[in-house]
Amino acid sequence: MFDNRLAKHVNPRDSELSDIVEKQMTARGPPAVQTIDVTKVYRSGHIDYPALRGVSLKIAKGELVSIVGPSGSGKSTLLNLIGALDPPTSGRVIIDGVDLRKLNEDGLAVLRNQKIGFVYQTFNLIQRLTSIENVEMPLVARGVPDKIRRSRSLKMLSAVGLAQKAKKRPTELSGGEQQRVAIARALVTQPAIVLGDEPTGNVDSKTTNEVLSYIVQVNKTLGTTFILVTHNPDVANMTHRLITIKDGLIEKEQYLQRIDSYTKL
Amino acid sequence: MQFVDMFKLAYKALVDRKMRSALTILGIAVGSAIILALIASSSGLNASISGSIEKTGANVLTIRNAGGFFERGSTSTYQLSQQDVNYLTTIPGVVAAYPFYSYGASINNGGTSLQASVVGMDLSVLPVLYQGLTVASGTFPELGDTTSAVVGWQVANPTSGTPIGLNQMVSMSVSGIKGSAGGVSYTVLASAILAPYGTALFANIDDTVYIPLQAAQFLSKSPYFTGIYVIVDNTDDVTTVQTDIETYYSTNVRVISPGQILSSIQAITGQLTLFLGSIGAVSLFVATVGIVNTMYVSVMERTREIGILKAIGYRPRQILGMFLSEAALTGVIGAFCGLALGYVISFLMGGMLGGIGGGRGGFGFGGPGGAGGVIQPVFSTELILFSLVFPVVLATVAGLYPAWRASKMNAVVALKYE
Repeated sequence: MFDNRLAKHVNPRDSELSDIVEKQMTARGPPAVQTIDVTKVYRSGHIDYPALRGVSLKIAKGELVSIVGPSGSGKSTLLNLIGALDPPTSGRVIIDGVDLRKLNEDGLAVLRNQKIGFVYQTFNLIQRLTSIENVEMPLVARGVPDKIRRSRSLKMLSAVGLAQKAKKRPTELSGGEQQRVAIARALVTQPAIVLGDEPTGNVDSKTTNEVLSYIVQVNKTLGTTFILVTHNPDVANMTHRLITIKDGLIEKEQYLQRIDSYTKL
Repeated sequence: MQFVDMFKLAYKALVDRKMRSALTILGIAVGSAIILALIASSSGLNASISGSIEKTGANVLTIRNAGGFFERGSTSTYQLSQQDVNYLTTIPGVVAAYPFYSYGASINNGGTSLQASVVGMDLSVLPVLYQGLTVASGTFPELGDTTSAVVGWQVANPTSGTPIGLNQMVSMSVSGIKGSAGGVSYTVLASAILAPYGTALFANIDDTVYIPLQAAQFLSKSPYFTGIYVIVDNTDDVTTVQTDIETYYSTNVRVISPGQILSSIQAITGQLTLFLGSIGAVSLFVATVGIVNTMYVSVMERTREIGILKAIGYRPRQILGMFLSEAALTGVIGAFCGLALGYVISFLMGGMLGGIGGGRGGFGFGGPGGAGGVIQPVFSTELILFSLVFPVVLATVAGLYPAWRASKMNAVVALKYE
């Protein structure tokens, strides 16, 4: 199903291969994302439902990672943990060198604002605001002055090719356009990582390619790390690494392309 | 997050739900308007009454027989006479004492009968008792002339019937004279007609025919007066003089002081204020509950949005602030609308309350032009500030719980909300 060129099956027990990957990663500085044996257990009444049962991974700066797996495998849960939206039941999550356990709710909010961007399947734009106002929202939280955030937001909208739709509301935009606005919003704070939960789930194939090309472009030029949960093979094929989750654990990791052949350090 | 941005977003949120916001604002405006109108009108009423007391009769005590019109359970048969006049003038603080007779009369006017009063007293005292009283036409009768009278405006110009001109005869039937069962026929010459005045000291000047004291003595066939006006030199001394008189006479006479009247009226207006005030307060309370409800619904509807905001990096306190400013903004707009609305209602209320403070058949403390009887509402700076600040405070408090709920939402759960 997936393109196997340069595919390396990283088996946790395969020490030689994991050493090579480790060296590659360390060369790029501390990882953008690191999880150490994280678990997440949801309690409903007397029943414990373990969504994640011990996931450890390292994602390097500038990596394009896709996470795949069957429904209920825990991939969305993992994304929420990495996105500092949900604390793990046990284990540690470290974003850009910051251990999330050290932060209170305000600290996590600030972290999300400054270092993390989100893109969702259903776009999640605020309907009563225009495109540019939507893109501005993360900057408003930070208290960035009016003129500065206007120009930054406009630049971001231009980067996704929607400058002329700045004053339009989401209801006046197509699905693809809305998703591009969402991407602009996610990138306006120049975050370290962008998390996408089925970002192309609600758009047609043409738009999927457009969206993907923006992601790859941003990844190349800005070095932003992308972590995308997806069912779409086209998406997965664009990424450097493919992580498969099943039953709350990493089943396998595959390297599809060498990270340094595409992105600058 | 900057305040300006918070309120801009709040405004956009309110505009997004125009009908809902408008109705909530209306609730606040009405409640606020009622309270404003009521307090302004009561203040106006008080001012009007105090004003007219200052104008006419702040330093005049009226002494009357205890068993008369103002009887309140007294069984005294004491009657006021010249010796009382003499005594009263000796009380320290008293400038002068003027006795008077007062009877009801039926004026015969070309077939129709009009109710009026006949008052007999030293006519030269009239301008002293009623400040600002002027003559429309004619002159006061000469001293010793017992056949002429000074006629009030309404008697001379009745609403129905023929007007009575200068130097015309006024014939009437006077009731209440001791020893006569029916009315006593009485005729006078109108040598002066008064300009319109209104009511003062429990008398309606416009509805009265004033005759000289001697003429009244002949008419009543009695040396006993209906009452005595006591003029005190200083308003501050009024209470002392009153106490002196009451101590001397105990329950044999009735002493009416303007201060008493004022406090009785103020007690009544106080009750009125309280009553109407509670209606206004309840109305405002209901409007506030309306805000809690509206905001709660808004927060629930925008669960997803709250999740997005949290994901984007809004802190709980910022989300609290955003929703709280929506509530506050509703209060601000409602307060300003309420101020305008209340201003209009105040004048309507003033018309209603005018019947109490002045005009015909009032409590006797109207001023010049009292026939109109409209109270001007009084808007003190404190009242206006209160009307602007109070609704905003209430609205903000109302928004506290829903805003707090919003800030405490779990982002992951919120994002999954349909």
